[in-house]
Amino acid sequence: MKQKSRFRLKIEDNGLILIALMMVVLYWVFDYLSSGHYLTRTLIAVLVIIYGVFTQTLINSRKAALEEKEKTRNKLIQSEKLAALGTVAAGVAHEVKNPLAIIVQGVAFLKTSLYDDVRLLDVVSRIEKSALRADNIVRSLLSFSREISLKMEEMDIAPVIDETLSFMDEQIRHKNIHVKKLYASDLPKIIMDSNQIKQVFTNLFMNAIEAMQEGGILGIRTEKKKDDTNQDYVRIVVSDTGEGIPEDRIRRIFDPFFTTKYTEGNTGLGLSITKGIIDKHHGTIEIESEPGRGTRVMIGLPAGLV
Amino acid sequence: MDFFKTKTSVSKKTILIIDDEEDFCYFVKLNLEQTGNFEVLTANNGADGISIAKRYQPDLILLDIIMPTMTGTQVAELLRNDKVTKDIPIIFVTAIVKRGEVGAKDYQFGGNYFVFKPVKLDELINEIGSKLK
Repeated sequence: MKQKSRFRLKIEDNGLILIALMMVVLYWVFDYLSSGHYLTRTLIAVLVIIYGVFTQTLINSRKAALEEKEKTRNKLIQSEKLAALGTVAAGVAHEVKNPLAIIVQGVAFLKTSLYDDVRLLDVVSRIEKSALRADNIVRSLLSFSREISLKMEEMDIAPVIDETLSFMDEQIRHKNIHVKKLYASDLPKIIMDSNQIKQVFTNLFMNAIEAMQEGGILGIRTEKKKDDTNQDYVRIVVSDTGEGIPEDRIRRIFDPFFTTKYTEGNTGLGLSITKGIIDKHHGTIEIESEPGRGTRVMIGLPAGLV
Repeated sequence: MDFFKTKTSVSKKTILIIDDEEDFCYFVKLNLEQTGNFEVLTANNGADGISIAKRYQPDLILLDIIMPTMTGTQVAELLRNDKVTKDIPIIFVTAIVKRGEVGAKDYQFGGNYFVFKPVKLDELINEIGSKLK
């Protein structure tokens, strides 16, 4: 959001009084000059127009201020939700990991005992896979718990994006997706935990690929921007031309366990984790979508010291 | 042949598992003994663990951290303060999620080896092997 001038803030704060005063003045002018003279009429018209513009500006400012307040409130609710989940997850993790450890050790014993029975080996391998999957879910839950420490380094974002993208070559080709990259050449470095940021892009690319079942364009754009306090930040936009997300679902898109896809292995945690990671990097994330047209995810990450 | 058997038996390392999860002790014991390289003793609480450690002086102790009545940290402290058990390497096998949560005390008493549950058997054996060298 743009920084407001002191004058504008003053007007906003005292807007209603000013409007009242303006009305009194207008009434007085109208009353005093209502001689039906052409110039007088013009003057009154001009004054009314000024009054209208002034009132409209005031209403717009109020509206923007309310929207900003609502946004901040939503952000707060979101971070409170994540914090609460992090606390619960940390507590539950211990209780879940113990039985998982028993399953994994039990399976290890069965595997060595059943070395010549292919069918039973397959059964126990599936059990092991499921136990490790459950462990992964617990880890995922914890990955946005506040206690996880980041390994921060000053790095360029482009290689991190490209490396993540290279893991998905096969799926991109298979789904007939065209990747359109537009990287700015003057990007500052970012202080980040590259593994965590890779996780962010993995989640975003996976979502985009899944949304484009019939093929499409995966767009990745980077640019340098300035924030409210005139600090540089890097904006990364990941877009797809997939099915899009309906408006009522966009509102809950960062909620843990909220999902629009009911496929195997989908935990509904991807975007919650993504948001958690971006928050930890003091960044921003926003999503825009139009059903049938596609989705755009905008990430802002503060620039490091150059 | 007899000579070979005796030699194998002598080279077996004794591992003590102290963990309140009975089934975990049971399976780890089965798995480690199946390799033929270990003899495994188990205890389901800290007090029993300490008395077994004093009596049998195992080559290595696998120690859980969160246990009722006496925590793994307290057990490690008592073992380190006893001249019979002070040099036995300890590996914490814990369901605590990450190192940061364990606390500095655990490092102080020689328990600076950690394995996080659910640990795979080969990882556990590698860890034990590296600490027994």
